[in-house]
Amino acid sequence: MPRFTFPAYSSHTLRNGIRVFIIPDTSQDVAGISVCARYGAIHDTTDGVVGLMMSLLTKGTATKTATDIATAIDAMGTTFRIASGWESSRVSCTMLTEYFEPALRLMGDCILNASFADDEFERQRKQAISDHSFDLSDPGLRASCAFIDTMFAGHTYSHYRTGTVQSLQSLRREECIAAYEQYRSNSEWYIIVTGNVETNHAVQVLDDVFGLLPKSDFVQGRADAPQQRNGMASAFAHNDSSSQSVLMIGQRTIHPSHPDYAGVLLLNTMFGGYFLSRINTILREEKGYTYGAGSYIDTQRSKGCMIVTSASVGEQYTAESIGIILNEWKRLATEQVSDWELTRSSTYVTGTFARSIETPQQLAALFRDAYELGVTPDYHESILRQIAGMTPQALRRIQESHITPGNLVVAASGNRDILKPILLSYGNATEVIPA
Amino acid sequence: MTLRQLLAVAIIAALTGTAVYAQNYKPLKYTEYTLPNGLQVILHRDNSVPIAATVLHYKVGSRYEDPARTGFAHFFEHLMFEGTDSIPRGGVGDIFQRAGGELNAFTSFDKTVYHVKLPSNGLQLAMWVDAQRMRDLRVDTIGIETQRGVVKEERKQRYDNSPYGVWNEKMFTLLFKGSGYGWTPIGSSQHIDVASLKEFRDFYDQYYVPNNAVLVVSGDFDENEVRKYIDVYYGSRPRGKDIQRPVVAMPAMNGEIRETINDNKAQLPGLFIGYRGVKLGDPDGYAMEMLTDILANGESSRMYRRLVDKEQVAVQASTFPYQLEQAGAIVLVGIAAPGADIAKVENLMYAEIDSVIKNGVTDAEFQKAKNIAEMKFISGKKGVLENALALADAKATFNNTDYVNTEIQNFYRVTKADLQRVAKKYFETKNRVVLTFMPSAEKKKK
Repeated sequence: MPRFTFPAYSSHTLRNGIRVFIIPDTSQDVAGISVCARYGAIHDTTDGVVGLMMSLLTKGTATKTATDIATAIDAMGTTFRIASGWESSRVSCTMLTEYFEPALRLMGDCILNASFADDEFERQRKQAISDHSFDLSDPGLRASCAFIDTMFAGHTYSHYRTGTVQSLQSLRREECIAAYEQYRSNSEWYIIVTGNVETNHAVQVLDDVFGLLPKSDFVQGRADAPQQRNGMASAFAHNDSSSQSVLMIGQRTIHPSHPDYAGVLLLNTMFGGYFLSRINTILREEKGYTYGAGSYIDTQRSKGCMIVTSASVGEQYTAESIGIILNEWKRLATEQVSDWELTRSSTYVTGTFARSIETPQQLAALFRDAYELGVTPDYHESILRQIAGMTPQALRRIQESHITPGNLVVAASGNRDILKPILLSYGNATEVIPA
Repeated sequence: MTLRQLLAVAIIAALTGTAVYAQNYKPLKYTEYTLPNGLQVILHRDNSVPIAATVLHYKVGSRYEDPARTGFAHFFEHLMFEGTDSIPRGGVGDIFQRAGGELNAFTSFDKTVYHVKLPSNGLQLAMWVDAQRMRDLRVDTIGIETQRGVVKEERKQRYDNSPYGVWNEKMFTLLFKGSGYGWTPIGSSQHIDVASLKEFRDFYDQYYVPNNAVLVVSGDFDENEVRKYIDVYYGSRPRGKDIQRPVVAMPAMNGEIRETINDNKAQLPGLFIGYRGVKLGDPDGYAMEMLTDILANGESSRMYRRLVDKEQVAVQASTFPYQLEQAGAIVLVGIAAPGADIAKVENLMYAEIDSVIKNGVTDAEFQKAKNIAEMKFISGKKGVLENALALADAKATFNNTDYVNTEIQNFYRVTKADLQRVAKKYFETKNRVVLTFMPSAEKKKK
């Protein structure tokens, strides 16, 4: 296996202390900017306020209307992507290098001088309600609502990050502006630049645009660690005329900075992290019950990381599929893995890293992940080293410590009459109505 | 600041377009040749990262199918992961993933494409497996039965259990009725259920032959070594019979076709409007792509501004050209806002098209469309797999590999007048299919 290392990058500091990281790539005249702030849905004072505030950044500034901004962005052939997560938010853009400075200055104006005009606020709020109504028809989202509602019951992590129809209707412009003031003045900011840019020039323009932000203290969100689950629980969301059940089954797990994380990553890979994983092999390749079954580690909520399995299965296979997944979860907790399965999944994880350091966008994403986890970019390489040195015996301890089938949440969306009797075997089979 | 940067600033300041073209595109370099058995080979070296990709592009898609056996090409894509005479069932994926690679495939109307991306030290292995699958696939009853179940669930997930999920199946059936594009690659479960083992075997023998494929190897490799592997692994595969390529005969449409579908899974009414368009490579296709960007790409687009922003009758208003080897479509999608009348969404979409037909587009819109085309063209040339897919497409579709480097010139040749002309020519009522999806409650209200 070739040696894979994170590419060279340079680190800079603006006059107000904002960190800037530049990852050069001269293969084409394309550049990328991500302006990131540690400010997200955990700071919501009402469900969806941070998301709505972020969506309004490009809807007018002190000197430009929403139409002016949209016209200028489109004229450069680019898009400003706004991502509002649980604990951080970002505005990013990929553009031809020749538009680096104008795009950056426009982005800065949007982020620093958003105007939140009454008419734009109302329009965007209505749009958010419409978007939310549209999303509610997605069977996967409905299963996710049932799952998250049960996994984090009563905790801020269970609230609707994009808002509910009711919360969005009740939102006032002043609340949105208050969130913006927090975002602008009290977030921890950092900026990632990738691609073919001249470093000194990039830093100079960034300092000119973002160096004016006042230094401030980072405001913590209202996310204390949610309580660990004790025992299994089940829930479902009903879907009219569904022909499949969308299963979502999972447990809480450790944060990526935990010393055992490399082992958990490997276990998840074996369980459902790739095509040859245990559950995909059984449910798809042996049984033909699904187009695909997989699992992933969700680290979006840093104090509530999870291993989550999902699969859309034929309704008639619902009970058996859940039984298979739970049985495999038990096996994962109790049976020592074989050398060959360990080798295969280790190589796959290493290859996955190799395949994800190719484009500037991928590099920015890896860098962002590391930064927000509070580790340096060589974190990924250190995880790979740990994986390469893992033995079945070492993994056994991690299985016993961190795989807990007795605490699973079993959730699904689909036909109520099919799901409820099945899910009663695993808990109260609470019906969640996505709002 | 360069002249072009000044121009960009001018765009922002004045909100007007200024003619700027990509000057600094770095063309993809490649070598190409054809093996004696007919396999077309393209090699593209890029050693910036120690990874590589292979693409094996077979010139067979759903339009090659017998209308009584639809779904064969896609079903075969699944069977190709089963096993070969030398690789046991389940072993194909095992070999690639054990090498740290990821393999996948897709089937469209015109092609079936198998691709792999992996650390470069696994390249030899990848080529050996792909060459095995080219002629030594094991097509047996166990594999067929299992994949029948998988494909049925794929169909449910993509079509039956998703809001508006059947739109493209209905659209292509109505828009291209009576032609090889009149069914989608997922095909009919019934056709797959009744097909015999011999029929699958015959399909394989007809189309999975070296003289019906393009192989691209891209990324970090030694060219002499790779040429040697290609000669040994693929060169030994026997040439197949010459392929008789079906010509798509497209019966004329006799006026607009409208259909309303009751969709219990949808929360909001949805509208899917299809027009007959142009095939790949047709000069009008570039003008149409630019026009659809002006109509509905980005928040400054006409439909977004009118339907989503100003009138607030739609959650989504988009349009895109769908170009195939022998036909094309232009699809408009509108999802109504809660409480909005879907008929108004439809009328406003037509109003925006009519406005282009009557008045053309502005200079700023025209420049924006060129800039979008330029951005897509340059920023799309990143990644060994993406480059390999583009090279294979260029060769298989146009028999012109350098299309990957010259495509942008086709956009530069488009004039403002062309956009108005193609709007007039292709947005014709008699060539139109209108599908309206109504949630149950909404339908009852009407």
